[in-house]
Amino acid sequence: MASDTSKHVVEMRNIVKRFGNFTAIHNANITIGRGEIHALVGENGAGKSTLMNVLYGLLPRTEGDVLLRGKSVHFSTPNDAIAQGIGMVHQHFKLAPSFTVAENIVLGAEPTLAMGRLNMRRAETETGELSKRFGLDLDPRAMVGSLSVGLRQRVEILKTLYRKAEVLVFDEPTAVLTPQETRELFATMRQLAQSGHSIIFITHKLREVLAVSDRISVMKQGEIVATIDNKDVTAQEIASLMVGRSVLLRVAKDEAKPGGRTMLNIRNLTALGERGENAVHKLSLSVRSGEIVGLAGVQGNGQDELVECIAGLRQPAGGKIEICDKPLGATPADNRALGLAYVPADRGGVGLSLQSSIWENMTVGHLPKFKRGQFLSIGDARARADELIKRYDVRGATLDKAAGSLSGGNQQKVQIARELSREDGSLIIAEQPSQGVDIGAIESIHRILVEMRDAGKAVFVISADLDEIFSISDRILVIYRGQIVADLKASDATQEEVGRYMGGLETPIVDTGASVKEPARVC
Amino acid sequence: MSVETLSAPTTRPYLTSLLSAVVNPIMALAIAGILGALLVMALGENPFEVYWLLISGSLAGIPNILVTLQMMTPLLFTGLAVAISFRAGLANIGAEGQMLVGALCAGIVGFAVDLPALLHVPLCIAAAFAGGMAWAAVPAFLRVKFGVNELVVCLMMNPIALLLTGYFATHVLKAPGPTNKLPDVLPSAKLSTFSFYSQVNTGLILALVLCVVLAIINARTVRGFEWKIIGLSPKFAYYGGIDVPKRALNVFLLSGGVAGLAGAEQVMGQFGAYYDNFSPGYGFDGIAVAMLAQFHPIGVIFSAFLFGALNSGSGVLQMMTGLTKHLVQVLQFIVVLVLAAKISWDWLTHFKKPSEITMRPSRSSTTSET
Amino acid sequence: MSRFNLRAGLTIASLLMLSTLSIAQEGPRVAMVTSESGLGDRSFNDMMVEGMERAEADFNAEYVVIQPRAVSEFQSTLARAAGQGFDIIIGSSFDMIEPMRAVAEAFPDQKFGLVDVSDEPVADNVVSTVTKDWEGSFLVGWIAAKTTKTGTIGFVGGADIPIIHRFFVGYYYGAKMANPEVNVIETYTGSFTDPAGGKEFTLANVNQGADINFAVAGATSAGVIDGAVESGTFAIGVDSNQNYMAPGSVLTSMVKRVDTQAYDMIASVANDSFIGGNVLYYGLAEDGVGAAMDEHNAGLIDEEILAEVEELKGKLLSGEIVVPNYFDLTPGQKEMGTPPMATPPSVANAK
Repeated sequence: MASDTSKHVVEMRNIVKRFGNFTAIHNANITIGRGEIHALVGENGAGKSTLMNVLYGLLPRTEGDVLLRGKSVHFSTPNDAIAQGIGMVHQHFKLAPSFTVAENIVLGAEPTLAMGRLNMRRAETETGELSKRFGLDLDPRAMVGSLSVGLRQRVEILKTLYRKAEVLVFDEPTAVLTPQETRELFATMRQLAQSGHSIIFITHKLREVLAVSDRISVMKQGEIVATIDNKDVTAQEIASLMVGRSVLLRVAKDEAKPGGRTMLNIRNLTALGERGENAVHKLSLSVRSGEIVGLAGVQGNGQDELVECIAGLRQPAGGKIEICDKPLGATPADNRALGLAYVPADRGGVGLSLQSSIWENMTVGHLPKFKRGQFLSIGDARARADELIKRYDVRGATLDKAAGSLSGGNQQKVQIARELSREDGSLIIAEQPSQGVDIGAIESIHRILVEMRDAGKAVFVISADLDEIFSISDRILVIYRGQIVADLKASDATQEEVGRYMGGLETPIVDTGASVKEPARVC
Repeated sequence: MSVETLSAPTTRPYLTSLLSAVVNPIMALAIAGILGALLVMALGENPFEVYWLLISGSLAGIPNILVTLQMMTPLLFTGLAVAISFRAGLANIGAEGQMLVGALCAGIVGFAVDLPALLHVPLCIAAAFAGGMAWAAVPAFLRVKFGVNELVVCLMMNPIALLLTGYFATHVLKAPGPTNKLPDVLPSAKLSTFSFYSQVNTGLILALVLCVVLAIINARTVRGFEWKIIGLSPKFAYYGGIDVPKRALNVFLLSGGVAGLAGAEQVMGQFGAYYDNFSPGYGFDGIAVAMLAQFHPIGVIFSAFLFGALNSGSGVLQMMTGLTKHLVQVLQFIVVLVLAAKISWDWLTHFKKPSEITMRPSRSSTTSET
Repeated sequence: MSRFNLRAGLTIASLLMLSTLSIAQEGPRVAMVTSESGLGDRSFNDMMVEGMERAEADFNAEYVVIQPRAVSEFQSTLARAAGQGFDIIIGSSFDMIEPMRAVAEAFPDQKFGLVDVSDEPVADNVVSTVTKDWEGSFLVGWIAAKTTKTGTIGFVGGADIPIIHRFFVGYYYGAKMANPEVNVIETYTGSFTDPAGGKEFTLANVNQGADINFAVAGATSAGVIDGAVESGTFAIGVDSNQNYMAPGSVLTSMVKRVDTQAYDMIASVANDSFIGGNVLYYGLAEDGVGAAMDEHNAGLIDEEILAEVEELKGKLLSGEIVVPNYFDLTPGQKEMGTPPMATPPSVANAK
């Protein structure tokens, strides 16, 4: 894809952003050409979002210039930026679910009739035309709440295009998408670029960077350390630039030596989803001590419900679950007592209390250990938390800092430290362990999980990221429509094969009945 | 080395939480003070004179101080009750109703049971605690078992309590005479007062002790730790093995019981009988007191003292100027408004960082386009 | 020691207070302590302020209004006011009797006034007033009996207690004097704070033929007035002028002139004629009671009846008529008042 980089649409010169004494951005320089897809990569906390928030008017810059089409600009609010043709597609959509697609798109810039009445018909035709022009197929009258995540993202994109954005910033757009949706998004991005739009693509997934971008800027600790043409670089090189050292993308580990004991045994489990459908249907699986089992599957095929059942956060509708040969308890407390250690995907909601301090987050789940009569031995709890911070290398952590002030990767380390430091934990469930985590941290998290395996524990990893599944699993299970459709030895399996199972194309023909919900279909 | 890490951490969080519980309210008070001064000027009075009267009228001389303590006492109980529940994420705004029912129970046991003081006083206090708890049980149970919003239930329980206690005081157990009240409690159920100038009584000591005990429970015990985690993130607490429904129910009942004690102090110490509709809104003032204290039990002592002082000073202010009691009420409301604004500001600035918070992908995203 | 502290505190406090006073006043300094319902009650508290305003105009009195928020604050409020050098402290509430006695005894040099609640002397330095509400009730009873079309009138009391019986006896005496044949229904709701009950009782009385009901029931009276509006009959208000509450349906109100009582207390201080330790009665002669006439009940009572009322007042003032006070009656007594008439059945049949 040829791009005309000689003519810069956006130029950020010597940008410095300080928060008090802390310098988040040091002298960043970046140029975006017309029709260019420019990837901005870096670990979490490297300053990517901060830099883009400066561009978008969400944060005032401390020093430096922002040039738009060669002219110096100063945005004090996002509205200024939008008026000048800059649009942002947020990772967490800012949409009203009870409004239609058209209503969401025009919200705040509504076409009106006389007397300020909303011209809904015009809103719908304009929305329809816009979506056709960019190949973003959408029904303007559909309720946003009923749309899939991928479609909602399209609404976000159309929203910026409706406001005549020429520069679009995508903030980790693929984090919430299925592989199929990701491919479609990339096609859209290319089409937008061809029609003259400039795209800034924030991510830390290297494969995606190489798949779609023209140029790549790498950020590290608030600086842009390199801007490179896509064709001149490999994933390994980008990764090295990001973390400053060569990263092993596949964890070095020995052959698994599974023990005889089944730590997790699930038989004919059925669980209902949010709408009362059979999200998990007569599912059976087992995980033995000394092995890492990866569960692959397209989001929405029952993984969430399955994990919640094991964790005691959801009541199964049928079947049985045994943890370390004992039937599942009634509450999470009971399951912890049975030896379950669970690292949930929802760090902010379930796995951590973001407003609480780090020592408190590390102490929950270990209260019996620090109980002295009715009193809590705060000294011992803090001493242990301090030790865990060091042992698990939680960066930027102090005991009294709020967990929410840490970067995603370090939040994940706090969870993992708390869960895996349990002496009595013999079954480890890690759900999306590397979601939103930077590469350096992914590596150390994977290493910890392998150590746990080698110590004879059973490890069950649920991940939407096939790279991750292949990187650490000894055995790979594939879930589709609430059932396990494949059980493969990791060393023999290929990504293509697993992908086919995920898509349901190699489903062993088992008719599971009428109540099975509509699956995610992949072409 | 290890000694350092052990000793330093134990004191610091306690101090910092106590500090933040004091510093922020001072800012709120300063802002309220300035707004109040503007208001006083708009009324054509000299704000310095008014503030001086408020301060001297609440603090200059033993009588004024004693009146301050009298007016502070019910707010200690209700403020503490609200603080306990809010810290655990339960919005018990029904302290008014719980106090009324507690007061009625103390009033009935106080006149109907004849016992030596050593037994009578504790029995009345227990009755008030039980009454407040029983009244809190309704919103607590509905909240914990069925997820019914406790704000709404509490708001409805308050007028029901007023009407129910009113029914007892005007019909069922009405004392002879023109006033709607129960018969006077027996001398054996009276809390001792100290001075002719004020109805402040031994109930104040009970309230202060309770505040200290709750502060210790919050800061030092497993329960206190669990309440705090439940308050900040109930899902996390449940996941972490805390029995959230049971703890929440217990905290709500405890909060109601403490609110009931406010009623005991009023009946046994200040009024000497259950009077119909006796409260000028101590339960609601308790919400403001707890907010100002940032739900810290020791902070409640300071903020209840402040509110008590404002009310006490208000009496002198009315004696010395043409200003009405409403001025002081408006000043109190301004404090609450500033605090509310501060809390919403914190909320906005704390949570408006979408990139910092990881969310699980939406679960309803099961259907995908072709 | 505590005594010393009290003194010291008071001295400091009064010095502070004095410093805030601008110019020396010639007139008396008055503190009015309201009942817990405070100003804006459109009843005793507001009426007493009217008396204060008149005293301000006539004697250059300077007054402040102190509003305790609860009964429990009465004693401390009175005690602190007693230290501030007021010439008189005036209050009005049944629940203020004991606090005022305690404070008056502790401050023997401070003058106090207690309006319309205690018919017994409170303390040597307290002047207490009692409204001869039986005389006012007599007047409205007389008007009701003259106005009724059905020959039956009603009485809705808040509670079956002596102080309310006093209203009833006056009302009954007046009604029977106007028309010996008139039927008077005597009812008590049992509550002073139950408007719904007041309405029920009123409608029950209306069913028995009463087309005028006298409400002596505090907040319950509002229900009596509602009942009158709903049934198209008349109510008679009590204590303060309640004619405005339902213009056209409130025949009149038996007004206790607590403003006059407060005014007279201030006057006695201004004229150096204050005598404590006694009870002053306020009847028609003292302008202490009346039947309220204003734009809200204009035309409801015949001109002739109004003219006869003036005549009746003359007889009361001359002593030709003496309205009986329930407290002077003994249970089972058969006749009462001057001229003597039969006691109501509730008295005649009482044991």
